[in-house]
Amino acid sequence: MSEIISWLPSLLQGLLVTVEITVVAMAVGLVLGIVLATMRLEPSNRWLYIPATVYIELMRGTPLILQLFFVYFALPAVNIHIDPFVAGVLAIGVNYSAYLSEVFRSSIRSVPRGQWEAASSLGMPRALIMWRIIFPQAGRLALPATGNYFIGLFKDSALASTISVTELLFSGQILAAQTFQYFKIYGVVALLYLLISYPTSLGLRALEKRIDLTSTRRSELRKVERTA
Amino acid sequence: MMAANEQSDTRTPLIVAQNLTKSYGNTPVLHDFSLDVMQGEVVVLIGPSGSGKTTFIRTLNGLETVDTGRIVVNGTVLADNAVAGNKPHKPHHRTLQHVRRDVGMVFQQFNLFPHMSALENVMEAPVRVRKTPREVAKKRALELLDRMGLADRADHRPHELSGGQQQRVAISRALAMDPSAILFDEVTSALDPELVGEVLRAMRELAADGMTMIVVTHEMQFARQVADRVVMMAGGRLVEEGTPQQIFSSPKDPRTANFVRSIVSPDPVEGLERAQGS
Ligand SMILES: Nc1ncnc2c1ncn2[C@@H]1O[C@H](COP(=O)(O)OP(=O)(O)OP(=O)(O)O)[C@@H](O)[C@H]1O
Ligand SMILES: [Mg+2]
Repeated sequence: MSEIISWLPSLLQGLLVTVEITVVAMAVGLVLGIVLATMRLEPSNRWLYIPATVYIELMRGTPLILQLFFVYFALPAVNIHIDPFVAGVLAIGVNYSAYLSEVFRSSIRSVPRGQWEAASSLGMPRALIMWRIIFPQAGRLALPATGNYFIGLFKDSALASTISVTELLFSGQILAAQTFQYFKIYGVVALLYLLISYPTSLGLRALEKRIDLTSTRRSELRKVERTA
Repeated sequence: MMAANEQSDTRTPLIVAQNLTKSYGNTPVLHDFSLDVMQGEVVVLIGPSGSGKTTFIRTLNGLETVDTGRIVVNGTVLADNAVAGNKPHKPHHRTLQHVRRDVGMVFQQFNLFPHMSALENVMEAPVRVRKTPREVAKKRALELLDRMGLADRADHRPHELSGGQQQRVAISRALAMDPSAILFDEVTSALDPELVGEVLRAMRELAADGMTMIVVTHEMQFARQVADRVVMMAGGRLVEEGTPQQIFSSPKDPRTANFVRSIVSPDPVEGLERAQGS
């Protein structure tokens, strides 16, 4: 038991890095994903559609670990040197943006046509319709899949260990190499991953319920908030 | 406004549609269709399914384009092509926005914004499009909702409202832009029968206030009471037009007569008249 406690500081330090990678890479993925999805909304707009499509196919058609190696090991050959953490965040975020953009695109498509028509009938310009009418509804539709990708990204952040980012898995590997206590160390590492992923998935499920437009509870809440 | 101005207003139609044609592939949907609507006029469009009623009213705010023909809405030219080109004429998006801010539309499926309360639905366009100050827009929106009998529903989301209430919110939303005219496309068809009356009542009040309205509906009773003119469409053409009395009681064209007979009237008096007439 006391040995586990002695490992904890370095494992928790690793967990912190894992969470950092996850949050920053997810932010990159979300922003890029929305941009890509918007670029691909109108196939007739070729100068946006084709580059975005090529990018997405490239990202989805090659292994994430290869992309990671590319950014970290191959770019220095052309004199681009990137810090391992930044390389990890970039590669993972860029990779996930491809998947997320597909989620966003189909969610945007799933907002009923009538919403576009009603908004444009009021004379709202395109960008405003997107921002005020389509995105808020598409966001709700996208939440479950986006949440799954978020947890997927959290776990995939372990790949950053291969480019010497001292995140949770790599911290475990270092300890294991010193102590040979593989079973205990990787067991604790697994528990630490679960400690984050399980509550996150519960939280996401609660959030889904909260923003569900067909549940009455929320607007009752709103009324309470308003009168309070 | 000056008297001279008002006079000229009453002479030029608010909405001009001349010789509209449109086809989807080889299917003609509008066929040399013309209709002028004067300020304050209530025109009811009737006709069998697929006759082009929806397509026509959607051309008036640019949700549909026409292949040829001329459309002028409150002085703004939406379409002006005398001969069929290869491509339907697409108006500039600023022109479209301008017209849409001036012409309201109410849909069969309500199309309220589900993530906003009734009040927010009504305020959205005035605040974001017209840049009306929030407080002013809110006051006006509450007035409109109150007028529609929805004062106590302002904070409700669309899914918490009945169909009839949703449709009245949709009418308030259109009214909030102070439109010169409102287009209604079968706005009671998706409603349970017991909810139709409250929506028609609201529309009747609008008409009484002088709103220019083009209404696609099969509600005979409403058309009889409210319409200045009834227009019968079939196969994308204007078959016959006249006062409700003329169209419903003594139609000239056999297609109109057939169609009018085919509509089951919810009004027992009309059924009686029909029985006596035959
Ligand atoms: N997007 C489209 N593509 C092909 N054909 C279409 C399209 N929209 C409408 N049509 C056709 O155009 C014709 C007119 O349709 P429209 O919806 O205007 O008729 P309507 O009079 O409103 O009918 P209803 O009473 O059923 O609403 C129909 O034959 C319809 O099938
Ligand atoms: Mg129709």
